[in-house]
Amino acid sequence: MIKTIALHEFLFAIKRPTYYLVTFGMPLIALAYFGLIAVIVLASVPSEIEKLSKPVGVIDESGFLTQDDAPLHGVEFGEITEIQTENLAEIDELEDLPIDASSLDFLSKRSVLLLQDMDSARAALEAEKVRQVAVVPKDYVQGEKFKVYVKKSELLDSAMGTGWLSDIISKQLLKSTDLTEKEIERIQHSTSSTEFELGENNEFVEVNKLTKGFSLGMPLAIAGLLIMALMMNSGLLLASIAEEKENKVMEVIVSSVSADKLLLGKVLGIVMAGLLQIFVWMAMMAVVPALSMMVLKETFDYDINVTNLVIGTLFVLLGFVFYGCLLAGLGSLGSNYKDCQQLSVAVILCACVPFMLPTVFLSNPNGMIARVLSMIPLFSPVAMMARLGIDDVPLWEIGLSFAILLVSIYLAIKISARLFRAGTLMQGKRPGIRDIWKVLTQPA
Amino acid sequence: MKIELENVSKTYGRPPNQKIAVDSVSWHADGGEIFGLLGPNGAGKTTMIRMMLDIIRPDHGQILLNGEPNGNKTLAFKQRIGYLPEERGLYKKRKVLDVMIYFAALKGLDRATAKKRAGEMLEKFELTQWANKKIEDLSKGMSQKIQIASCVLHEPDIVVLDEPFSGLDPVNVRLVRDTIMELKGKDKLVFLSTHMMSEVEALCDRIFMINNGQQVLYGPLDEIKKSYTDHEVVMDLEAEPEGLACVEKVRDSAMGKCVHLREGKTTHDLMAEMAAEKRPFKRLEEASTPIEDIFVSVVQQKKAEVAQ
Repeated sequence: MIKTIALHEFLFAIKRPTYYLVTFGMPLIALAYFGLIAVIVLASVPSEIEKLSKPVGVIDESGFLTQDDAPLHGVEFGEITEIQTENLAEIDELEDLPIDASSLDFLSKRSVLLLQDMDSARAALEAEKVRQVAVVPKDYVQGEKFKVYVKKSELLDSAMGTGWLSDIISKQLLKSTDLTEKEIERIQHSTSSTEFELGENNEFVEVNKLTKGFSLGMPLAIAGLLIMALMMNSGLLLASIAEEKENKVMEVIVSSVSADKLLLGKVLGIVMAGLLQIFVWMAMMAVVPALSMMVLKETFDYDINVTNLVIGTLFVLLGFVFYGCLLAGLGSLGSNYKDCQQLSVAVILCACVPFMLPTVFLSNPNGMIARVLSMIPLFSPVAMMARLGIDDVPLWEIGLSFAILLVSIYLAIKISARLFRAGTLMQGKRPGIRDIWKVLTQPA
Repeated sequence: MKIELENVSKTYGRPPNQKIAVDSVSWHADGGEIFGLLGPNGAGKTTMIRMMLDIIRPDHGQILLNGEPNGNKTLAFKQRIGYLPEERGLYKKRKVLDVMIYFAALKGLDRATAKKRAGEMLEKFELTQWANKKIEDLSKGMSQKIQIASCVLHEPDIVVLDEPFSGLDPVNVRLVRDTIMELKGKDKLVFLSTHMMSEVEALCDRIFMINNGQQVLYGPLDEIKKSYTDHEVVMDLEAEPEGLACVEKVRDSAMGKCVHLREGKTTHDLMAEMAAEKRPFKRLEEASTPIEDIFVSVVQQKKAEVAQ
């Protein structure tokens, strides 16, 4: 009987035009959206490069830039010269990224126009020969600041930085000491640390933050997809209940089958429709993850724990059934589709709570709050998925949370079936708190 | 299949707004009979039907199926009933045949059997050409016939029809009436709840009348009608019963001459005297009050009692 109802609901769901629209339209809309962003970004790149490659005017009142061994030594006023500001190949962080450092060379060089005074600076800015004029004050070492002059100031202008100037001056100052070239390099480049954590067999294992981020991202992305499918399909579940109420078919159905079975059949039908939707989404977008995985696999060795992924997916699936039962129970109390939708918002918000508290899981996945959240069935599907992605979760906790979720599903079906029974027969009238209480407390 | 209600009660709300929908009613009905459930609007008929079908549960009393308490809560029972509620409808956006097959599947029929029987029922109700049309394309009468057809498609043992004639033209009223008689002929138990008293007279074997949640009439229709009829016999207008020893008075009515017999005299005495005195007559029958009159008089009497 449950199978008959589930199949009927599944067909009802997938035959609706909105289902096609969401299932096939969503990935296309998402692709179009990200495509548009990419086009906008790419379109702005040439102007950014042009901006960066335009010379910077420099007035060196301090003499640090033009002294012996300095980058502007021997350069005439009004002459444009290129100076090396940073060697990108030496930056540690870039090693982890799938980018060829030589392709970013333009970022490590500066085109500089040496200027004599403010009059020539004004003229250069007026003629747009330079994008800015930086003045290195005479008392720079005593604490005076650089002065930057532009034609028109822009908020968040990436080209306004003067860090490269202070780097050159620090280097010049360090050169006047007894320090070796290597020591100067070491002082000038801040160093990052390598982190280790205690792994299996009590041995330290190097932490790769990118790998870790990816391991967390994958389960969360799947949880996100399922929650999205729940949000999309909860509408279908409510529409199905509302349709049967509005068309007055419900009474015939509840005379043929128990409310529990009807409810479970409906929820399972919608879950099937939701899973099909996710499957289609994943299939349609398979190209993107497949490509990115190929690139990522070459760059760093990511590691997905398949067992955790399966456990997490089971949690989210059970969560889907649990939320579905609650939605159907609450939804049936509304007298029409609009009412049903309003009542369902609370349930969907609960599903999203763990997404709203990312720091709880990121900073301390086995802390008290994260553990409590992963035991409460309203939050546990997503919470457990998040914890599994970040850290190892004790087996007993997984088992306990799973058992709580299963019992909650059973209770949700029983309670929702009663609400369903009360709500469905009150056509055009929403039952009051007393009616609901009576239905919930009367013997079966 | 036999179904019994024993002291069944149901209340809605809480004091002071409590309403007793059904107040300790008891009756039983058996296969092969048409059992009329009568009462004015809001009397408690639908509540009684819903409790019988386990859509809602009674507060007190019990419902027995073939002598077994709670037998109406089983899936087997749910699959052996056909129910046409008063507040009814169909999935508007779906095709006629699909809806009929789904309802039959809920009653445990496999798809092939359901499809075959649906085809037969559509033919019987002259709706074959509408099989693949959407419900919303059907007229109200057609939709009503589809619902009745869906209700009996799985050949249930108990059929509950709440106002099955509303919205039907005379031709279709006859079609539904024939269907009900056919069910009775197959030893099915048919519950008929209707305000069309002519149909009650024509179809019901026994009736149960409820008013303000309480039983007011219960028993075979003939006996109830007789109990509400004065000691009268109806004869044709050309008959001459006047002046006979057993006759107290004679009056003309639309049905013919109504002959009121003296206390202790019977129809046999009248026939014997007519024959002895060779008085002519073509028709002689015991008078019975129409059920509509009984219905109205019972309801008014109860109203008067409440007013006092």
